[in-house]
Amino acid sequence: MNVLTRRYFLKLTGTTLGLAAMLSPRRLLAADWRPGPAELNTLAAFAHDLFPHPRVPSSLYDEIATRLQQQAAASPQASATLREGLMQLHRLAGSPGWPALAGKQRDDAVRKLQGGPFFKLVRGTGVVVLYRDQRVWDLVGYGGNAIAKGGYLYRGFNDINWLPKES
Amino acid sequence: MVAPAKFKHDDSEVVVIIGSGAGGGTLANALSKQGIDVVCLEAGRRLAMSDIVNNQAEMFPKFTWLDERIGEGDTPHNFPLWTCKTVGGSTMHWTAATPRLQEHELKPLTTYGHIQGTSLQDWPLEYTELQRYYDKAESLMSVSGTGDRPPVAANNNHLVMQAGAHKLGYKQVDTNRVAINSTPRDGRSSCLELGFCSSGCVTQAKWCTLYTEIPRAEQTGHFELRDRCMATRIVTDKSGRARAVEYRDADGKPRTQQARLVCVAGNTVETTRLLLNSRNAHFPDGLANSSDQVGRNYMHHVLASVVAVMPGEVAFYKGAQCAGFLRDETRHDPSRGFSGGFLLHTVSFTPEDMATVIMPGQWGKDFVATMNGYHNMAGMLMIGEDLPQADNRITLHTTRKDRAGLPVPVVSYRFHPNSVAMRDYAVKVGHDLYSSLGAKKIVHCTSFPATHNMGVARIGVDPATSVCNPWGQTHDIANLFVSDGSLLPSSGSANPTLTIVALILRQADYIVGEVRRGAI
Repeated sequence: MNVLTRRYFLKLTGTTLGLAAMLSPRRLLAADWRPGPAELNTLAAFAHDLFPHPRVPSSLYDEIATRLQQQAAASPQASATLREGLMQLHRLAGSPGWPALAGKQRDDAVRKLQGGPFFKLVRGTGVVVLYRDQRVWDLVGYGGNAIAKGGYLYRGFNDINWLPKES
Repeated sequence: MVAPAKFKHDDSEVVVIIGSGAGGGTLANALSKQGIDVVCLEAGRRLAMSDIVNNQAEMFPKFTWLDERIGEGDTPHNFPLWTCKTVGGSTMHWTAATPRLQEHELKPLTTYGHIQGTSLQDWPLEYTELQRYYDKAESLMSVSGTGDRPPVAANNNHLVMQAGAHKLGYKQVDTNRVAINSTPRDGRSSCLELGFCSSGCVTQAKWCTLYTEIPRAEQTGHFELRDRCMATRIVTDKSGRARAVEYRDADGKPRTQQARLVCVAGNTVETTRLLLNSRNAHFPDGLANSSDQVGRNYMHHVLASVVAVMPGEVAFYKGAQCAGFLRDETRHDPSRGFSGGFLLHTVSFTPEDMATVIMPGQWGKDFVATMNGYHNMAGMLMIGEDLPQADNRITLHTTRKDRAGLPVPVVSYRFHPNSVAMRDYAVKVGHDLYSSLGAKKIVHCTSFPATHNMGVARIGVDPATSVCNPWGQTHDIANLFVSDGSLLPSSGSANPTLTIVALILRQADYIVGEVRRGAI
């Protein structure tokens, strides 16, 4: 347990949280911690809270979690950020766990993490996974590779029809 | 086909140009066409046309300058400038907007008067003189909407801006002028409206030195391009003249190229770094820096972008990204609460840009609702006059070195109150314009990595307050020139590339004359 984590653990146990919250993150405190299935699930749920696109397939949110897992494996710093973040989520959600929390409560909780390193890491990874994906492009209406289709010269670059007629 | 020239490292008759973008590429062709031997050292690599694909995320690492730079103050701290490291320099990334500066923008001190905190200076050349070279630059770059070249077509994004502009009573709104072919010209295709200008133009409709000035220079038999060659120092001789340029070649091996003349065109940051890093016993503060002006008066335009979700489909990603202009606000009119003016032009962003640049840090249902309006988005960018300030400057970090062992550049920049007033005014214009057409949601952003980089080695008549004479020849060293946007003493409200090309064509005429009469 490093100094930061110990301090966090003391803070966690010493204050407002109940027994369940205290017990569950034990796994997160292990020296050889790597995100497991439950944590991947939490990360995917958190990513969905940041980007709640109604029609984006859930597999893309799983992909965000997987990419975060890969980053944790590659970088001790990313690993520490993820671990701290998951502990925060656990603290904020209590024993039912983050994915079981009601949407409104989750939004309130996200607000507390907004701008922090964990939030930035998940958001940054989420942006790359979602907004470089053809399926999301199709949903929001971005064309992607234009030259492959001959450009837009004959495909609607100037076809606007709803503007008010000018007098 | 003429085989590209190869020059020896000890050939002291060659002109060495550092950089191959708008300044360096233009100068290389202009000089070699006149029979002057030129070696161009370019830090980046030469992309093939097949390397250029319609994918922003894939192109970004291919040509962006990603070596460490530190931003301080009102500039993105990790990535203060978005410049390029590739043959063609920032003409790979530019969106080809080519407005001219206006006459009063060459006389900011006379027109605006002294403004506290600024180091305003009038240009040391007449507007008619610049106009003459604007004509040449527009012809060289085949600028649409000038001469007998028809303007480019308006895309949906521009038609929205135009309709809103007319509703607000604005008059000067059209697609002029861009260095994008409206018809096949100059051996290049006309625009297919791909919308990927800033990721490299695969049709070559957009002027870029990679496939215009550089291969043309090679055809003269007087030009050698050395790509992946990073200049590290300019060496001077006992008499204080530039004698050679040290660089690392593609294999990282240190090399020295002798030179009769050295022209630095690395874009503001690299130009500053090279001049300062070349300090020696003769020039302890760096080259051309007896005035302590190198690196100072850095300007990058006042930028703000307004993006609106409109009531109907726009698909602003379709078509040339910045081929639409609203010029009414470029005038100087202090009644608006600021000096100088701003240009508005169209702009488009990818979904990823929207999430990272325009709405950084946003999340949740509101954010997603805006993103889901992507296909209905219209967008504009303001290009506002940025006043020179002596302490907006580029310096070298005293201890920190980059991977190549060079001192890391530090870009310090703070908004002048004039810029803030202008920016707020422009953002309101953007909101009003899109609101007049029933916009459902409007977002704006005022923090960008700088792509228009100006100042740091400005031209002037007084060696105490400028680095170069009116031709870009440094006051201190007769055979050392600065050949990029660093020369601009004021930014005006015009995207800078056309002005850079005009100044460099003028510089080339001067160099040819001086070389022929044996002066340099």
